[in-house]
Amino acid sequence: MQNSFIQKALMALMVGALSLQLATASDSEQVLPQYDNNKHMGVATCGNAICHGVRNLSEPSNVRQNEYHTWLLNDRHSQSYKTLMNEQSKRIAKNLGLKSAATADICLDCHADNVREEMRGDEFHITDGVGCEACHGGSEKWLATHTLTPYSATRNISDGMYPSAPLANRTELCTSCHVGNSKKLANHNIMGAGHPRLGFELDTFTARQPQHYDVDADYLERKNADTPIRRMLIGAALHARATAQNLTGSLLDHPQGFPEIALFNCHSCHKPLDDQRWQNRPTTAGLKPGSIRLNDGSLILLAAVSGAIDKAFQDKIVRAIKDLHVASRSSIAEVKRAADQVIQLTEQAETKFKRLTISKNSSQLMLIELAKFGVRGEYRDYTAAEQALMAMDAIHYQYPGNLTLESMLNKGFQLTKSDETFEPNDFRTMLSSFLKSE
Amino acid sequence: MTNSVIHEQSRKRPGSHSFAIILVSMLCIGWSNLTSAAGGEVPVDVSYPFYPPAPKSQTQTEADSKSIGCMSCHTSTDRHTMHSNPAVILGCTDCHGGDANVTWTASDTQDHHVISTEEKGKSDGYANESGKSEEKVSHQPGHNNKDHSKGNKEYDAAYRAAMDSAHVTPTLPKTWHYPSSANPPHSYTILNTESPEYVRFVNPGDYRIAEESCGACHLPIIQAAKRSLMTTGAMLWGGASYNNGILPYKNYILGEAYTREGVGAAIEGPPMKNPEQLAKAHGVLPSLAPLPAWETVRPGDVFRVFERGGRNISNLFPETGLPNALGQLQRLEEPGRPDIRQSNRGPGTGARISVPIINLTKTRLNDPISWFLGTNDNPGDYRSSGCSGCHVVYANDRDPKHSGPYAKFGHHGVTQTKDPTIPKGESGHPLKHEFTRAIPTSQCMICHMHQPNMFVNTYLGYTMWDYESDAPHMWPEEQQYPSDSKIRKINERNPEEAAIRGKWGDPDFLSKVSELNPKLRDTQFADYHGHGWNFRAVYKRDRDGNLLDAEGGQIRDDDPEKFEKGVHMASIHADKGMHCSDCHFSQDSHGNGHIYGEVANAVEIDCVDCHGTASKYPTLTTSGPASPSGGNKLATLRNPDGKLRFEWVDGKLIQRSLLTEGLEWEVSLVKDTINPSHPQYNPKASRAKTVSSNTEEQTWGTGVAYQDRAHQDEEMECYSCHTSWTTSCAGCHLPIEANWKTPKHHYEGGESRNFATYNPQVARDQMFQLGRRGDINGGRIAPVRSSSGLVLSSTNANREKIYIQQPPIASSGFSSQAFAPHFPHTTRLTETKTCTDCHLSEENDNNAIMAQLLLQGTNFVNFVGYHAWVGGEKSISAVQVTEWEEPQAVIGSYLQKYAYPDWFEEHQQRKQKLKTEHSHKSGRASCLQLRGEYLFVAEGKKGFRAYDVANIANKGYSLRIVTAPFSQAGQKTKVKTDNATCMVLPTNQNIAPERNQGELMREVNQEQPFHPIYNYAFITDSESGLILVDVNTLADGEFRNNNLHADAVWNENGILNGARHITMGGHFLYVVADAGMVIINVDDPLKPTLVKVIPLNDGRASALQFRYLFVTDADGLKVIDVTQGQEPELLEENTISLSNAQRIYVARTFAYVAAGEEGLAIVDVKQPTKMKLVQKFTANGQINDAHDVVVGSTNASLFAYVADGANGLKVIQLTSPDSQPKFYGFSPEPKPELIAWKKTKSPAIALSKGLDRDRGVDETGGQIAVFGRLGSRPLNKAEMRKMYQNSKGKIWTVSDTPNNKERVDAK
Repeated sequence: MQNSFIQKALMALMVGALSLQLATASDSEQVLPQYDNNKHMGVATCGNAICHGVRNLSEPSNVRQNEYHTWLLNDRHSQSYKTLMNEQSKRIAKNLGLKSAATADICLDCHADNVREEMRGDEFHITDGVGCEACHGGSEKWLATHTLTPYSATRNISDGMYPSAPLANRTELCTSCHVGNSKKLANHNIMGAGHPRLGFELDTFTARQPQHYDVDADYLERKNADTPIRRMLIGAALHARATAQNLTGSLLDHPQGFPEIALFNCHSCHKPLDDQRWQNRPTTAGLKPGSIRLNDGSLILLAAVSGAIDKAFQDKIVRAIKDLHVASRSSIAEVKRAADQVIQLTEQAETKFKRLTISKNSSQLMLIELAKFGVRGEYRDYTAAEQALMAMDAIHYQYPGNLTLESMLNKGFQLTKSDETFEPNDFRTMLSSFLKSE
Repeated sequence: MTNSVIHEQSRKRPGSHSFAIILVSMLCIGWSNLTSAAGGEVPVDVSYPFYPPAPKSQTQTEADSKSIGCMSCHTSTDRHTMHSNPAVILGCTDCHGGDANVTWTASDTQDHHVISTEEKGKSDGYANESGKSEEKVSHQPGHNNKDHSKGNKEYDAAYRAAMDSAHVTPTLPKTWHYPSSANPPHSYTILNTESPEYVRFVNPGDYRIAEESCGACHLPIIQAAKRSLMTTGAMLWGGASYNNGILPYKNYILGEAYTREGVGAAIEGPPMKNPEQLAKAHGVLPSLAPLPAWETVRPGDVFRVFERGGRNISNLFPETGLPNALGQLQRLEEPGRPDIRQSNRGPGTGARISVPIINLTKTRLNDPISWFLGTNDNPGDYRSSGCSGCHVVYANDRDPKHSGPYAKFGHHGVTQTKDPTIPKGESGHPLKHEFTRAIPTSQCMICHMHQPNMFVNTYLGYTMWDYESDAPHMWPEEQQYPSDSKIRKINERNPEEAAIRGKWGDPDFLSKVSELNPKLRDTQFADYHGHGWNFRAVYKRDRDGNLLDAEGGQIRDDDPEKFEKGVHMASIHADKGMHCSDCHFSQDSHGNGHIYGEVANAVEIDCVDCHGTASKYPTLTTSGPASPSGGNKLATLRNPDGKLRFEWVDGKLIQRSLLTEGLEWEVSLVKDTINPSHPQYNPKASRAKTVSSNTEEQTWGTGVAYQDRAHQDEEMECYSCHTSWTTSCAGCHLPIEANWKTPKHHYEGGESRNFATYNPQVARDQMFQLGRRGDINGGRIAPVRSSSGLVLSSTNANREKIYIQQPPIASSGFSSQAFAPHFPHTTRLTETKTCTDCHLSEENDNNAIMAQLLLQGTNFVNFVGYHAWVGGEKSISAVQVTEWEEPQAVIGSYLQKYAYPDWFEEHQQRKQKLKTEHSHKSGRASCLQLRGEYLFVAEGKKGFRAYDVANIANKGYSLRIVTAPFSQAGQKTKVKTDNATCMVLPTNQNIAPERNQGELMREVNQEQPFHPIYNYAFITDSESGLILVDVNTLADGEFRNNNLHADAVWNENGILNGARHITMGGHFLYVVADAGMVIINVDDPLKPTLVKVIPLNDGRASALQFRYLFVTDADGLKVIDVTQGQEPELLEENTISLSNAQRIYVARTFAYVAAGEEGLAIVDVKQPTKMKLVQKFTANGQINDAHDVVVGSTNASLFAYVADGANGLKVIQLTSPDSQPKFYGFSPEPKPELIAWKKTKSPAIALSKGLDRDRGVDETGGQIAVFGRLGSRPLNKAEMRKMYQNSKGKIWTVSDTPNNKERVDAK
């Protein structure tokens, strides 16, 4: 198995068909690090000055080896536990009747590497927040061997390292907190207690994390192609799937006979009563004023980018979204059915995106599709606008130099600075003038 | 393959030599394995197979195959790989070498590897960590001469055979006590003499072979560490060679480095793009060379025995440098010259070269540096070498403040390992087979304990013991007359000569010294005793010496709980539980890869990195001189338990202990302390940091703009104020002696027939002095310490003292009474320096403090030495006042009573009469001064003369004081004048101004020039006035140019008629003449100008202390305010009435007046404007003709020497632990006791002042003494005056209590 993978990867490299190479590397059955059965040995076991805490690398290495510094000094994940100690968290905990946010599992599940007590090594500290092993998996079995040469990703993964390179696994991991899943979710109680809104887009969040790896020759050799647009596309599919999955399982069984309220679009309720701006989007055509809309920002993005690849497929997604909204007015069972349909489409989208060869031209097309979708009025909801903007930014990041795009993005980020003051019409106008100038 | 082939391979293996180490051609001997080891053992020929380097990574199975055999005996251990991180996979032989395939299969290994049943018993007792069981350790290997090899016989033969084939065996089995695994006692440099294979076997972390065992992962850090100061010791070699005139390079060129085989080598820094810039801005050195064999080094000392010419004593001085058995060359010398010369070749021969170098090579003075093992002799000596030297902890100290969690394991270097083969009660084993980053301060102390000059002592609140406090507990009741073999044995462990007489020469006594503490009256001892030394605790005291509690209340001297109530002045950091490694992180310990010569340049941490400044919170980024660009981020550091070391929590900065799990503390943030609305606000701190430079208003607070603040961060070090005390080692005596055949440990080794002990003389803790750092450290103002100015002596094979107690001269020509800016590491919160420690107090009661602060000296720690020099009516005399042996107790003193009870008793039997006087006839010797080997005398009608007194203690020399050491044609050391009444030298320290010139000194070494006054002696003549005589030629090593003559004579308008006494303060002369006090400016020495004349009523003499000139006349003692920049004036209504006041000596806050028939008048001059008579001391009428008095310190006590006219010399003990329990104060009140006397050849009328040991600069800013560290210096005239005068010359004063009315808050 190991050999066949390497052979495949090598062959793929030889023919230069990078995009084909790694479909197989994804393993969606992987257990997330929080639930794995290996001890989490602690950040200190990784971050020492010889391994991943090197300040000045003295010899060639296939990784940066300063990952610990990046994480600790620049990555918010290292501060996530500390957040639980601040005033805002204290208030939230109090509102929720928790003794302390810093000890409650519902908080720690995402704000730290909240593994079971017996899975914590001697140097493990919950206070390290989302540390190395929160994403890379408990290192008990691979800590001593993961540097053995020749390096083998397969060996490490079978030793319990979480495969964070395949985007599917990675996104599942990210979305487990940044979107939430049936086991852990910033539910409406938490939100009601004062938790801020969540947002996610794989590429933007990777870049802003910031990234602690280089996609260079040896990375490509060992792992998978990993470019901003590719991350954005596949991320969009997977993000959408995570959104849809939350609409198929236990989260639908809210005691109020209602899907978990946090799955709805916040702004469909949370707006001033004298707000006169209500207007349906094409994809919510079946909804009446006052309907509570599901949060479909990630689905809208998926639909938008799909247009650049396959118009018919885009239409399918648009229909599925419409269907989901209609179902939300009907019954839990209907929602489940419609969501399942969306999940299937995200799987198809993932496959399509993986096969895609991305070029400057094709990315230009993607930009235009993204803009057009907005001009059609699909980004009236803040979450959708935010998604679209981050996607366009990913394209700009990979192919910089488009000054019109750059200035539009700057303006877009201004307009989306706050979800409270977001003006959908302004955003649409911006997109429309962008389209004209392109 | 035969063994020999493998052997060849291992020798030639490429890359096995250390990286940047270059073999230097050595003059002799070759590499050490071919010669005998230090102990004389002839190496065994051992063929070693090739032991491959440890791999970077491997599978567990691979690693296990390298441990399997080892673990058949070493059935368990603490951490298999030493590393706590499970990511490390290593087998035993990866690090140690040896053969892992040899397996011991006997069922019961216990029977075979335990050395003896006796050992077994101890082992059982020791393992349970309790204090009781510790007492069962009845011996340590170093102490009782236990024969380690004895154990060998008790091994089962088969077991021993298996052991020998599995282990790597040494080439020097006896030296190592093989197969004992304990580090051998007095190990010194034996690693240099052993094969690298065995070195790797016993300590894979040793730097000779660390590349092989640790290099796969840690190469850069090994490379850096080998270049670091802890390994090269460059600061020690550099400072010693420059300050003692041996090498003229202040950018040091010497340092220790060895090859894999232990051969001395040069070491080079890494390639640099801009070495000049790095050198200038950061003090980075390109390379260091090994120390040359000491026989080949030229002596820096310009002593008479090293001068050219003269016949040599061929039979006494075998020429070790150029063997010349028949003495042929010597015979070529001209006849007719005194036979005192060292050899025909002069400098560098006759085994009498610079004493500091023999000390460095023969004793453990500055060892062990990281190249060597701890010497494994005493508590505080146990450690390994190289990487393991720090990262493997040994039991050294039972005080948790010093050892943290390791304290409970005792201080005998015994192990706690699980390994059943390691004897449990035996000294010399690490606690565990385990690396740690939790390195306790006690581990640092093993090396950083050199007397008071290393700042781990001060950090923990200790300094060198002075042999006097609690003497009854430390000296045996019976005087010791140790045999030569006993002396040798003790000095092998502890080259401090006093140890051969004191109880602490016995290691068992030594190890229990701190247990005496509850019984002690004067001090408390530390529990570490590296090098066999004792360290006393420093307690909070006021200037008078009263012991104070935390609130500043006085504690009675007889309070039985005085030390519990008192404040032990350890650093606040130590009190919080911090160890060295809690501030000095990885880079400070390993170095940054560059070679440095000065410690202060190589430090990356700075106070502000953790405490911030008055304006900014800390960034947790290192910013010290050696910090990398952008700094290292302290926020990323983690402790062994995996926790972050630093963390901001709720606006507070928390630091977690590296040593003690669970211990954390809040870091003080400077910015908070100056913010009136913050709970941490402290008005004193706020004022100190923000006070305005406008001295008229002295406003303070956040409202004072940064640029207006007096104490800016760029101008002064934080610790200029945040220092509770500084250590000052005012002198160390190094007597070299023949007839001690001893090994040379470093480099080539070998033996020669001489040895020098080292003997601290006066270590004080209340001298606070300021100077400036060099540019590399920002040129900031910093505390300055006296740093072991040496005095040297030499005794030849006939035990003739061929020179005694001679201070060398630094390469820069300045005196070698060295000073150095430093961080004293005695930071405390409450006991800081306050306003009146550095500026004039409102009460004007800190004149002596200011004199001390500015390095003008206080005449308190002056060194009188073996002889007191007395001027008589018709003769000059040297009266022996101390013992020659160490400690050089003053005869009749408290110290003599305890160190030499028999001799003390004999002295009492003699009714305290001193035995020895050497004299020479002279004119009326009314002023005299010893400087080096010359005595300068104003002798009335006979004029001014320099006597050669080089052989004053040489029993082989019939006329010990000579006027004509050579033929009359060769020298003329006399200047005829009409009536020479007095003379003064600008300094009584040995100097050589002619050395301090040229590009090397002025540009490269950044030395400031001498003021031209330093060329002259200034003589008063009642007829001709002032006479200047250039006396420098006497110190240049050339005997043919000593023709003294008057270079200038000045008596403008007869103003100096009747001149009778002269005092000097920088370029101002204070001459007592008929006209009164005549003040003369000699800034241009050959053209003196009159400043002012102040009439006196028959003036007699004067003495200067900072702003005040104390004067005697027919009325008694008076004071003239001579504050610079102001008109000198006599203070009215401030006269101490004395009927016959003669000479005065001011030592700190007391003036001692030789008051004729009234004896010795002691006057409190703490407030010079309000003097108070304390007492007139006549010793029950025995002192009744007092003409002159000088004061000096010997060890912890203060002595006065009085020239008592017809009665001769009187020696008075002013303070002793018995008479004055406050003797550790800055200026305790004297309690005079007459302890000795000698009627001199003719009536005693004058005394030579003892060597100034705290005077680095004169009153007008002229530098006198050498400053260690490139570019550092004492404050100059303008800087000194800025401390108490505004730009218009107006005096301003301060108070220690902040006045809130002066506070201005930021808007």
